[in-house]
Amino acid sequence: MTAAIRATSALVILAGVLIGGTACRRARGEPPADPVTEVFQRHDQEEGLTRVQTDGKRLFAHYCATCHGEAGEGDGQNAYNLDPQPPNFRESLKEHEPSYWRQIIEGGSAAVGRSPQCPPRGRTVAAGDIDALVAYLEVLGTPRPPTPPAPSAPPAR
Amino acid sequence: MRAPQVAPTRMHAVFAALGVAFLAIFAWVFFQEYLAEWRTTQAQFRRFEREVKDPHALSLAPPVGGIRQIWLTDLDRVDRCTTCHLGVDDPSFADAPQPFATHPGAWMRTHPPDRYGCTICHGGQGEATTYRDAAHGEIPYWPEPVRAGQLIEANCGSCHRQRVVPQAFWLTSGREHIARAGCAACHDIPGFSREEVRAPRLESVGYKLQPGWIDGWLANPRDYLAQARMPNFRLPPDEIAGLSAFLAAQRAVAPLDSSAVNWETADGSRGRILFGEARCVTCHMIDGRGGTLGPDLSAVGNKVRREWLFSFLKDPTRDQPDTLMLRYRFTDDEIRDLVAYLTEELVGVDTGRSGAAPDVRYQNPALLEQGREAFIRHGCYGCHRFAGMEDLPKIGPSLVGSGDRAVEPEEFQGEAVNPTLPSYLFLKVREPDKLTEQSRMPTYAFTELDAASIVLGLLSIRKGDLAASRVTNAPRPEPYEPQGAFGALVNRYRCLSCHQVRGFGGTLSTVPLDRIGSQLQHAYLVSYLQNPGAVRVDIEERMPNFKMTAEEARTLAEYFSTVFIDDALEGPFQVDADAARRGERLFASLGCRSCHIVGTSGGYIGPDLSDTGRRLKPGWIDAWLSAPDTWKPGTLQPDYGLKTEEVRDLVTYLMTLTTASAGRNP
Repeated sequence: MTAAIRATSALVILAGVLIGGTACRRARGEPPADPVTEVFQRHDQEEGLTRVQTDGKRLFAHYCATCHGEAGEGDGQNAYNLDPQPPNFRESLKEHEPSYWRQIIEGGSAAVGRSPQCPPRGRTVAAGDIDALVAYLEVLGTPRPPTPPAPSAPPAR
Repeated sequence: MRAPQVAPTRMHAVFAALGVAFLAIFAWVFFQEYLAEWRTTQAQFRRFEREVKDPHALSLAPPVGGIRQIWLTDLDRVDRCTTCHLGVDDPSFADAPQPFATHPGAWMRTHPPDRYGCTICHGGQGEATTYRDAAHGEIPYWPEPVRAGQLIEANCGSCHRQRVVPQAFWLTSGREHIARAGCAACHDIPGFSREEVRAPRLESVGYKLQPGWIDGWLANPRDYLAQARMPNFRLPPDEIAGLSAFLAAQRAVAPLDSSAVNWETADGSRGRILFGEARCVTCHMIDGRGGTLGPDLSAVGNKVRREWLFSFLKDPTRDQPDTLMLRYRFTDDEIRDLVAYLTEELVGVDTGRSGAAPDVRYQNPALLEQGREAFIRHGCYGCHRFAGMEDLPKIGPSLVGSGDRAVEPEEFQGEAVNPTLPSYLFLKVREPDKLTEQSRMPTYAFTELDAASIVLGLLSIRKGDLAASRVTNAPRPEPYEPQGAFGALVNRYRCLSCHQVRGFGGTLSTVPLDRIGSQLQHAYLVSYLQNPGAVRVDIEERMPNFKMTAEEARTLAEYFSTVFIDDALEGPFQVDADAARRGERLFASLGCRSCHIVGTSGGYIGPDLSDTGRRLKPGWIDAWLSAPDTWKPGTLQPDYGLKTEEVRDLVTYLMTLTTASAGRNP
C-alpha cells in the first residue's frame, strides 16, 4: 500500500510542479520596456494617426499640399495662383461623404462638376494609396480634440 | 490450481495506482485539447459573426471549424494564423477587435496570402495555435517574434532589398541613415558599399586647415557644426594631439600658387553675389538653408586657409580627385572675391583656437607616429580614403545577418530593457560605449527616431537566404565613364554628381540624361547650359551656373542631341492650326494652368510652358502626356487618360508657344 501512496504522491507532486510552473510564468510582472517600440509609439501618439492615416498624410504632402496646404487649410503656396482658390478642408469636408472625396481624388474636381483645377489621380495612384488619402482626409475634416496626456503605463501587449 | 505467491496485493496496488494515473493524464490531455485556445476563439468568432452579419450574409459565409493553415510549398512553411485570425480577408470585420479584424490597407491585394502566408511579413511561429506559442510581441531572446507596429517594416526589408521601399517609410529612412552615416565604411553590410561613403581625402590636409581648428573638430565635430557628418570618436587628449600632428604633416600635393593674388583688393560683397549666381546653395548649406550634397559652409571661415580655398575653387580635383564638386570657369578675380566672402563672412562663434601660432608639432616624429597609429586604430581610412591604406580591413564586425543575431543576457550590461535584438541594436546605435567598454564605434547624433529606424534597417538583413523569386533588388548600374571631349566636360562639370545616365550617378536631379537629346531641342540645350534659367519657379535645387564657354556648351549639346536619343520619341510633327486651336481649348478645360505658367499667369508646380515651342521636342511631350508615371514614377503631372488625338492636339498647341521677346531665356 505504501508503494501506491508513494506513486500517487509522486504524480501529485509532478502535476503540482507543472501547474505551479505555468502559473509562476504567467504571474511574472510587466516585462521591461522595448525602446524601439516605445519610440514609435511616442511618435504615433504625437501625430495621433493610425498607420493608414500616416501613409495618407505623406501622400497628401506629396500630391496635395502644394495647393491645399500642409494642414489642408487651402493655403498651399500654389493656392494663390488658382481661381477659385482651394477650400479649407476643416470647413468644407463635412459637407460631403468620403465617397465624394474619393471621386474627386480619382477623377479630378471636374468629375463632380467643379472647376478642373484639381487633377485626377485614379490612373497613377494605387487604390490602396487613395484609401489612405481618404483616411487622412477624414482626420483633416474632423476638428481635432486637445491632445490627451500621455498614459504613464505602456499599453498592454 | 494455485499460482505462485508473489506478493499479489502489493502488485495490484501499484497497477491500480498507475492505471488511475494514466487515466487521469489521458483525460487531462483530452480535456486540454477540448479546451484548446483556438477552439474557444473560434466559438467566440461564431458568436461575433452572428452579431456583425445579417442572416443572409451569414448563410453565405463558409463555416468556421478546425485548424486552418496556409502552406507555402517553396519555403516549406506552414502558417496557421488564420485558425484564429478569422476575419482577415472579410471586409465586414473592419471594426472588429483582434484577432478577428479585417487586414488593414491594400496589403492583402498586393501580397496575396496564398503566395505569402502570414509570417513572412509578420514574423512569429506560423505553426503555433496559441497566442503565446505564436510569439506575439517582443519576447526576451526570441529571434522570430511577431513584429508589431512599425517594427514590421524590418520584415518588408528581408525581401525588398532595394534602398527605397515606398510602402515602408521607416525602413527606407533607416537605410538612408545607414548610407548617410557611412556605416559601411567600418562594417560589411549587404546592400551598402564603402564606395558610397565619401569623406575628403586627407593626404594634403596639412595645407587646407587653419592651425588649431582640427583639435576642436576631433574633440567634438558638433562644436563646429551642429549637423556635422563626422561622428564623435570620444578621443582622449593625447590621441587628439597625435592625430592633429599627423594630419598637419600631410602635405602630398601643394595648392596652386596664389602668390599673385592681391588679397587687399578682394571684395567679399561681390563674392557673395557670385555665390548666389553660381547657385552654390544647391549643394552647400549656410545657416540651415541649402543642399546637403557638399559640406555645410556656415562657419567655413573658421576652418580653411584662404590660399587652399583659392586653389580648391580653381581646381577641386587637385587634392580631391573623387570630389562631387564641379570646376567652375571662374576668373582668378572672381575666385578671390568668393574666397573673401567665404572666409571673412562665414565665420562661426570664436572657439578661442583660431589665430594660434603656426603648428609645429608635426615635426615631432614620435607624436607623428602616435597619430598615424590612432588614425589606423580608429579606422579613419574607412571614410577618408588614404594612400597606402587601401587594403586595410574594415574595423567593425560584419553585419551580414544582423537581423538574426542572437543576444546574450550579459550583453545588456544591466540596462532595464526587454532583452531582445531590437533593444540591443537600439542601445548600441544610440550610445555605442554603453554596452561595450572602450568600443571604437563613434557616437552619432542620431535622434531616437533615427536610431529606431536604423534598427529596422539592421533587422531587415537576414542570414537565411530566400529564393530569388521572392527577393527584389535594386539593379546595380554599370559605371558610366564617357571619353573624349564630351567625357572631359562631363568630368569637369561633374554632371554625374546630380544626374544619372543608365541609372549611374547622383539623385539630386530628377532629370536623367539618357534621353535628354530627344526631350530638349538642340538650340535650347546650348543656351540653357550657358545660362541655366529656372524652368520651375519654386524649385530651390537648381543647376549651377557653370560659367561654361559657348564652345563647351555646343560640344555637350551636340553629344546630347546625337547620342542621348530615344528613337521611340523621335517622329514627324506637323503644324496644324485646327489641331492647335483644339489643343488650346483642351489646355484650358483640363485646368493645366493651375500648375503651369503660360505667358504671365499660371501655377508654380510644373515647368513654365511659355517657351515650349523652342524648348521641348514634340515626340517627348506626346510620350510624357500619354503616360507621365512611366517616365517619372510619383510625378505630380496627372494622367488624364487622354485619347491619342487629344494628346496630338495638345502637343500641337504647346509647340506654338514661344516667348514674344526673342532675347529672353525661358
